Amino acid sequence: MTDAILKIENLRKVIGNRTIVSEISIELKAGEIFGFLGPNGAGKSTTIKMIVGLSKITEGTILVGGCSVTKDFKGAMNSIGCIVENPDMYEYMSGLDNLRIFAKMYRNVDEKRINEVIEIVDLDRAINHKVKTYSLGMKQRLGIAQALLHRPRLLILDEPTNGLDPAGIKELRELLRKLSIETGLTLFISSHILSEMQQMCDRVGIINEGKMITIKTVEELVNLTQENNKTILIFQTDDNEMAASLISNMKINSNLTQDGLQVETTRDRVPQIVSTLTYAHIAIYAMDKKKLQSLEDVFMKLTGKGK
Amino acid sequence: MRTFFTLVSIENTKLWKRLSTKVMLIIMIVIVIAATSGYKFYNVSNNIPNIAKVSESWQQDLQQELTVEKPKLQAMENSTDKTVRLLIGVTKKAIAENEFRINNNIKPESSKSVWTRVTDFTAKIDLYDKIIALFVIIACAATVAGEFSEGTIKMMISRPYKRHEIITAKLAATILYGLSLSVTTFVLNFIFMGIYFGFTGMDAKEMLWTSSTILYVPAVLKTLIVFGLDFLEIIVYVLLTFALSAIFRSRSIATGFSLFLLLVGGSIVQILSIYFAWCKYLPFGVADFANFVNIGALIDGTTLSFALIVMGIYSSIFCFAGYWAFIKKDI
Repeated sequence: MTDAILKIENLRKVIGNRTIVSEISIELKAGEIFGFLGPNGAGKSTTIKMIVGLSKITEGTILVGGCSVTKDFKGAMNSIGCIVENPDMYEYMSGLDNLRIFAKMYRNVDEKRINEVIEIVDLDRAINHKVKTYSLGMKQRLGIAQALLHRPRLLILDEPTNGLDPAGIKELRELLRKLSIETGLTLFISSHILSEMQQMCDRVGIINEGKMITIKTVEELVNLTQENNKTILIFQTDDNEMAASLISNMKINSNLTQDGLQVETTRDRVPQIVSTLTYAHIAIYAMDKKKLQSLEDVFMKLTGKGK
Repeated sequence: MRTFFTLVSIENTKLWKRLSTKVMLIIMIVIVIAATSGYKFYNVSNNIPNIAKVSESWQQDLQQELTVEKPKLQAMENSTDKTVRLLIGVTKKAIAENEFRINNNIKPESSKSVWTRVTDFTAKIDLYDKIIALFVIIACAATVAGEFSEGTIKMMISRPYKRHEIITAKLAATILYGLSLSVTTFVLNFIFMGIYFGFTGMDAKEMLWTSSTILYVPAVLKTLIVFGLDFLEIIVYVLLTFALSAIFRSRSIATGFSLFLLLVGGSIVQILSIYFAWCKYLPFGVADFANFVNIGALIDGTTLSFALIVMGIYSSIFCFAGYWAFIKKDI
């Protein structure tokens, strides 16, 4: 595919005799939101640092908008906007001065464009204040503003939700969604918080111990855990143990938990279970369907850290 | 080239936006005004005359001095007490100057020109170059190592610029800051010395001792040469801080080590050189270039050109190490 915005092939990073990442291959299409998932220390930041030229590439190639990061660094960097690790800005300057400094580093970024990005990230009111007075959420937005200045085709964000409160996370998610829809920006977002990725991304790549485990769409991943249409029901009765033995007599898997009795079954057998319990005079107080399997479960399963 | 100048102007903006940069300039201005005013006050309160009397028989007087100084120099050179060797350079300078006056029939001046006053005063307090170096060390550590501590270096590198362009711009901005501090100090010092003691003898001539020969040059040129030598000394310390900043990426290590070497490095090497001749090749012993002109060689057997060559080599090493560390190391 030639229209890939980001193309990583067999990326490898060795420091001393330690292999930090290896065999990483990713290809991003224009306009998609890609989630780069992995536990802490899996090699997410190292990979991102190699994409933006902070870290030397030991082996493999990275093409950004068709330009090789090693051979045509300037060309590659012209199509990337990024925040690596924290949105570190010059704290002793105002937000506007920060943006002006970064704007100077590109051709074709004028004062009008600066005001445009300030409006996009909604920082109008605080833009003349010193960055050291900013909250983390505001710094994150200023970080995104500086990354958008030169109208990049690819926006790379490293753990953007780190340290944000739920409201801040929601705000950020909406902003990123909006950017992706309105400007066709391609997003590459790393995170170790899985539920966020589920809500934000089109595709997710999972990395563990420096290796790419899988790259799938969010639906594909969620389906991975829902084997043969079984769902889990949680029963709350006056005698859970009795109920458990009755249900196991019906050759249905169940186990007792703090929340109640978890029963793994298919839809058509539910009436049968209920009537059996009622017949045995067991009072049923509640019956809940367990939440849909999330990426969390998939992740644990794939990285082998689950059970 | 256009992109490079953009980078320098960016670094310059960042440097001047720091409060400390402005404060250091103000401190420098206050120091110059206080020092020159204090000197004037001291001269007035102790009735030190502005004009010295030069006797008609100055040639005989100088000749007499020579007959005292020459055996003294010989005694020093043959002395078993090595510590007296520290004074050899000073004595050599005095002998050479007196001989030059006698041979070329140059009468000692009855009143100093404004240029001579500026140079003499700067040499006498021997403070300006050290304080400027101190301030530039702080600024250099902030622009190079500071960006690593603050994390902002990531924002600089992931841009359409090569690393060597970015680091060269940083170095250039720091040196420009050193230059603006030096020029401000020099100009203020000149103006205040002129106001307090008169703008006299603008076209006077002066002897310039390089620890090997004497040149007879316009006083303004000598003053500018001394200024240039002081500035070169500052650049040596800038390059040292630059290298330490790029290698250790820690503001405190870079500032601390550079300051230590600035304040005591020279003296340690000078003392060691009394006992071991090869120690004169160690860095910083001869880094105060202006001393060669103002006082004479502090380490026996060194000259101004020797100092410039030795420190030039060390500076290139610092420069190379800084670039290498900045370009090659991962961030």
